[in-house]
Amino acid sequence: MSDHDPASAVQPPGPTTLSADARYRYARQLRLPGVGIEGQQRLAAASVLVVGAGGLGAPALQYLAGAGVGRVGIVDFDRVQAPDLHRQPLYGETALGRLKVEAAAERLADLNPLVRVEPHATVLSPANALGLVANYDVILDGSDNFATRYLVNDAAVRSGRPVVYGAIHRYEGQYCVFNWNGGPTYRCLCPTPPPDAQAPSCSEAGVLGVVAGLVGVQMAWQALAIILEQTVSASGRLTLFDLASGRTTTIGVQRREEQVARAMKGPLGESEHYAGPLSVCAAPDDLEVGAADVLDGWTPGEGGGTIAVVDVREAGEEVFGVPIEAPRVPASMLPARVDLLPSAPLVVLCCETGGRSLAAAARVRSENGAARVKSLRGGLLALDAERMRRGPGGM
Amino acid sequence: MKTVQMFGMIAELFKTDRLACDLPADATVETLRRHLAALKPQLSDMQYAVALDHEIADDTAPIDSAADIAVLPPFAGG
Repeated sequence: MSDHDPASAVQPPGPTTLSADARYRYARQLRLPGVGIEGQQRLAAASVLVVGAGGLGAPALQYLAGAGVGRVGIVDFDRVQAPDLHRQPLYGETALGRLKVEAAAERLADLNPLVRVEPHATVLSPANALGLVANYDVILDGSDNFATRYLVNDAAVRSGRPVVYGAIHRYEGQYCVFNWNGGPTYRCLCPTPPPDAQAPSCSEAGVLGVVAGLVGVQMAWQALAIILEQTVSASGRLTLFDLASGRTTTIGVQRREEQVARAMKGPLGESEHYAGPLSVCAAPDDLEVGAADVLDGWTPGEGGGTIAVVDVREAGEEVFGVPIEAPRVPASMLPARVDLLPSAPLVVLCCETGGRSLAAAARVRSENGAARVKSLRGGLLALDAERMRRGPGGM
Repeated sequence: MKTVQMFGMIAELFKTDRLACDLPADATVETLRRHLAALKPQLSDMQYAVALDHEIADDTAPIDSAADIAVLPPFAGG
């Protein structure tokens, strides 16, 4: 297989025939024109890597596994939290606090034991992206940050893999197939990584579960269409919809060779500044502190210990956020009101996901040189996950 | 007068998903970007794509003949 020939990324079916089990399980889709025994064998011989087992990845995984894609990889470092469940019905109460890849693998094994699920409980990083991406035929990008999206794009362009892209914002969803059969890449739509602050995450902006479900299921179909060699309707066609207004639009994206070349240039992830996320593109080491360190050294409700935690979310935001017993200094007031910060030797600023708190810590640092002010890496969601990992009484 | 369709954060910034813009006859995508940034200065730092008649367009593309103009900020959520 040529490294840069996406058309050949899907392996032809092997000489196997379908077992009686498989014929019965897939009876309804085997009757479809465009699937049949040959299509089912193509699915069984194919592999899909789902990046992010969240709002987009979770519904996609259910339909990919249900359809009988032979090998399904899942990359996610996160744990299941209660605010995920409204849009990630792959998980339930019993999965709370567990690694998403583990909970998903169990559920999918129950859904379809004929599928091999490969959990990768890791952050997709410049160090592992090429190895992971090249090991699968089709890549689904269901990540929630720009850094991972550019990393997926660049790794896929380098290894000649098609990418099924999907993203959501509140009531709006969009999806597109990139790098398939000489089509455009993600950079042909968005040439340069924007700062993560330009597009808030679902945790911060809010998201409707059905929007994530609709995009995730469309993504699953586009991956199946690639494998089944059916019309890949979303290749180079960005579809946007807004459930609030009912508007749906399709936009053509042309391949731009200079953007393809940018994806190929230099060491992966170092060819330019990746604007986040914190987990992929580490902030300066001394500007962040991990959730485990905070839980080890902080007594909630106390401002005078070695670590003081400050909630920098804006007023009212905590109503729907992770609860925390800590004084509030909204990020919008920093660095102007740095005098409101506690006098502890280490002051840890935290917001929901760690983006705004990092920006606030950086502003305080550059204006006041206050090295004792840092940001909670991954935000209060990471703190909550670490609490759950430690179990009851594990503060 | 051109009607520009807005999506995502840009629609939220303008509090509408359809904005009427008075642009000169020789306006390009770049002219539209400057026009929007004059209305909302935050836009001058934001990256977004512009589509003319349902195709992503370069900054130098003329706008006058386009029947459909869309302003598309990137979405990160997933």
